[in-house]
Amino acid sequence: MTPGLTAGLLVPLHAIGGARDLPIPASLAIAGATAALVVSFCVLTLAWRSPRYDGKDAGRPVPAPLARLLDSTGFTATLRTLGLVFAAYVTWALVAGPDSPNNPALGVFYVLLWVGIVPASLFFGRFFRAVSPARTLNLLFARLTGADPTRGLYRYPTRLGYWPAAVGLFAFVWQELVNPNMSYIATRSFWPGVALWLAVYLGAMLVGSALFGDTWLARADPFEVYSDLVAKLSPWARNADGTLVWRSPLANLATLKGRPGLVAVVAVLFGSTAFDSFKDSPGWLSFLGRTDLSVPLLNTLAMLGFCVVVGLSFALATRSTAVEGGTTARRALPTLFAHSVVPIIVGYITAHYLSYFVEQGQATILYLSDPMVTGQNLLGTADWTLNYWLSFHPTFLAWVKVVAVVIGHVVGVVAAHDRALTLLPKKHYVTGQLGLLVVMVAYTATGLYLLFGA
Amino acid sequence: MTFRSRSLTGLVSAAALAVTLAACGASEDPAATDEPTPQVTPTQATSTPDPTPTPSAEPEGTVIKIALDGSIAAGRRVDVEVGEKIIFRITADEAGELHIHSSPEQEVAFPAGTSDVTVVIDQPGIVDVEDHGTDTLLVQLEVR
Repeated sequence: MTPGLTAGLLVPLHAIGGARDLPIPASLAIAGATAALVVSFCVLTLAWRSPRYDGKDAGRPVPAPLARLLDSTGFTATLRTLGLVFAAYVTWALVAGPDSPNNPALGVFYVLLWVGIVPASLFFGRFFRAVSPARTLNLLFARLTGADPTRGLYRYPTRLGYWPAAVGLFAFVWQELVNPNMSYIATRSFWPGVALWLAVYLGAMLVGSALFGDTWLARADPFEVYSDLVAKLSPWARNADGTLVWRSPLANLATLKGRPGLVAVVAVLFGSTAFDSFKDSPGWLSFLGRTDLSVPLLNTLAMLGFCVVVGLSFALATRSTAVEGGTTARRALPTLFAHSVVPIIVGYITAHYLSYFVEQGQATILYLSDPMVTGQNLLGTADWTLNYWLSFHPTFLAWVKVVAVVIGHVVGVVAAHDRALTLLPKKHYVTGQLGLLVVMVAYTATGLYLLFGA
Repeated sequence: MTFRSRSLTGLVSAAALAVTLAACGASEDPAATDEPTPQVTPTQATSTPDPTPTPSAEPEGTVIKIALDGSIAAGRRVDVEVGEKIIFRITADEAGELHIHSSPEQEVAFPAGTSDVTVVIDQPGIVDVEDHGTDTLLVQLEVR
């Protein structure tokens, strides 16, 4: 009757409320986990024995006219302008609009930006980098002062790697999943609202890029790092000479450069999403209801625990191999294998967020027409009818989720196998992969279990 | 569960939209067409508490007992059907509100003492039911 939900009455944002997806059926979860297990061992024992994706130049050049268009100043400047204009529009809602659930800034932050970054990067490559307001502002400042946007006062310390992004991503998921004030724009009794979060983010990005140039943005901006990671599963890439090419996602993924903190980044992305499923499970909720301890504190610790378990198990598993006779030090292995978790993350995120993105995404676009929540229809979307087809077809939705998780798992296992052929000594490459294979199956099975049990 | 609740008070601008959406959904899903008529004022139609508590006649639908003194364990999960009447048999020391996190969300007032409150949920999913005063989770509905 009212699949449409009364859009103006409330925002059933994930974090704010509204119904959540039904659990997937047990039979589907078990079938998915079994498929993942079988495929993993088939890949290990039957697949190719010499590396196919060696991280070198591969792919077919994008047709010259298209490449010229995409690389033209006009096109890139248009994207930057659109990104900046959109950011300004949302800032207007954030600053001048009411602190109500149908202020579009909330949906833009939690739905369009955080979830939308995945499909956008999967289809279009390094999407966020192209529209990032922080990157555009850095460019504009450099233009105004006649400086070089790529250079700051100092050289970015190599040892920092992606660690700042891991911290930023954790700050985001904390805001999204733990902060009791998550669904408010204004800060209330010490709990930061969305406005403060974004202000600190923008400040950190601008100061950092003044200090270290735009390398800071590529290593520390949580959205840019996330987008760049997912873009490695897109068909878009550049060769060493800068030529725009189309490349198979597996070959593209192999070009992900391992840097310090990469394992932490993937651990935060995967661990926090698993925590999001876990935090709504009846067992955890009834525990929170019984305890006298602070709920935000317990949720913070639980989410940190999920991330640490993912990171540590991955590091241990990738290091559990003999390396004598090979060319790679054991301690370098976790970072060099970290790319193989990216497909597992994307598969699981798809399963986790699909209905939320489709349905809350529509609601957000609708709210965008009325940034002051006064009944305006600035963009002509205010009278949209929202489509809730997915929620009304839970069986179909469950199938899509399981298929997404299994595809992500298979791509991840293939990527790990191929990398093992490069890194591990020949006589150890089967046994050396076993540990990693076991944790990958464990991640996928846990993900499916959480989709079933939460 | 403090983080899930957000008061709906004062946010009643889009009732008209709700009606359009209601019409659309009714034609689309046969399971949801039990009661197409009362949707002119959707939240009222589905969430007004029974004016006279009638514990004597056993009503149709799923009855869920809720005691706000904590004597009935919170955090249970109950299976219900889309469009089914769900009767919350509430025992409370003082009047309050249930906050039902369905899509759309519903808020239902209940009086002090024992009373029945009836709601209908139109869209499949997991729906949290909270005590609005304390933001505690009372029960989760698994709506199919």
